[in-house]
Amino acid sequence: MSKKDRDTNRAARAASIQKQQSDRERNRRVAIVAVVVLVLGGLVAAGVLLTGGGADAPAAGSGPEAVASGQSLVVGSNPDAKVKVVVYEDFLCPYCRELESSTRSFLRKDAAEGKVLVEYRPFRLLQDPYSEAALTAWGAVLKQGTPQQALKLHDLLYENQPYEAATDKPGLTELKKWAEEAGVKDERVLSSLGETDIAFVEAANAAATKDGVQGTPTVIVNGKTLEGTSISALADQLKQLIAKG
Amino acid sequence: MVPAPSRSGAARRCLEWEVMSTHAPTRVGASRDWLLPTIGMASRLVVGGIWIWAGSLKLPDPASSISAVRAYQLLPPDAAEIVGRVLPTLEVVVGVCLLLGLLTRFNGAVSALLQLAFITGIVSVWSRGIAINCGCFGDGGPDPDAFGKYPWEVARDTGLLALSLYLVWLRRTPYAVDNLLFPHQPARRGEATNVEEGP
Repeated sequence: MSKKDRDTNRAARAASIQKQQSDRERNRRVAIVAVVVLVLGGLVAAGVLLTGGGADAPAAGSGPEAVASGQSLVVGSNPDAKVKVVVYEDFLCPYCRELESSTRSFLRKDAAEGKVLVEYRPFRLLQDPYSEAALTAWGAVLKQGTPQQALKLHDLLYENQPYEAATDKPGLTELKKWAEEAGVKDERVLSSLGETDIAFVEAANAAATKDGVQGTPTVIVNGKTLEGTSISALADQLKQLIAKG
Repeated sequence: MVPAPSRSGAARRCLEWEVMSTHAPTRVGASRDWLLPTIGMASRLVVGGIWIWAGSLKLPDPASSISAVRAYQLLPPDAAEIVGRVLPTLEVVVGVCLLLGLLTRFNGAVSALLQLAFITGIVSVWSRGIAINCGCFGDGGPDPDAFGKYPWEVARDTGLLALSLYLVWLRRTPYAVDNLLFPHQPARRGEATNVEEGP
């Protein structure tokens, strides 16, 4: 075997060893990257769950007793509760939706335990026709259905709230579907959902004007309007006031 | 010196590292040699720090985060809900990774994609005439002065996008966990050449 052949052999062997090493190194890197990415993904998932991402507001409409009172719905098992909360809201207002999702779970629980009496007073603030259609449909269920059905429809309207700027807002079909989901079976009630009940809207708006409501959501606790720079601030205040009793 | 056959892989890598570092200054311009990595490290700290700040302000209040995403009226409501829930944690995790220099290139890319999405969102509400607080640092909501703020918000996010893209291009920065997990390897030589030829 010539010296040249030996050199080529040696070079080939060296090359194969080098290749093996670089393969091993590459595998190690791929493994590390995979583990790190998995851990990061797990951290994100854990973070979402820990910040209450998984625990949504309780099932719509379940829980406390409710009674209809004029254009409003009063929720709570204790009519003499120390804390009385009035919520003025519009079904299309995005911050009412946020207030709903940040207060519903504790409001319903405290109402069921008799610590608070919550009065929902939806009215029409926004000019969009959907605002009126949703309010009218809710009013029909409040008057002709049961308070529990009205409470559930109220929750469903917020859960399915369309964007203010949406061009294809839900219509009569969706409103009927949600009413059925809320437990309304009577065909007469369902068919009346599309009839604009101006008297109901005007009475609801008159109550808001009388209470000096400037915008939505407006939360009044024992006659005093809560002030806050953000919805989370309002929700925190409300929670504390109920806890104090 | 020829490495003895018993030399371990790690020791071999060390040797290559020494060779690399002694050769590097003559191959790459001496000023570029410390300047680019230093800028990279600064980018990591700035971008990472801002992500942690922005994310942790939103973290305690998912309802507000969802509301802020919905305020753009851009994503389908179901998607907006998911984005609103995931974004705060994602921001904090990406921020911590950039701060530590963990998978810098990957996290730089995620950061760049997020900034791109935010810029798109702000330009979109701006052009549709919707006045909202961008919700970048918590508390989205209607904001009458929004139109005066949009240009600055776009400028800020463009700057952060540029820094993120720089990290994607640079890959390696000093004082990064990446340097411990992935010590220098032969393939790095090819990269080094690329860097030299890069723009």
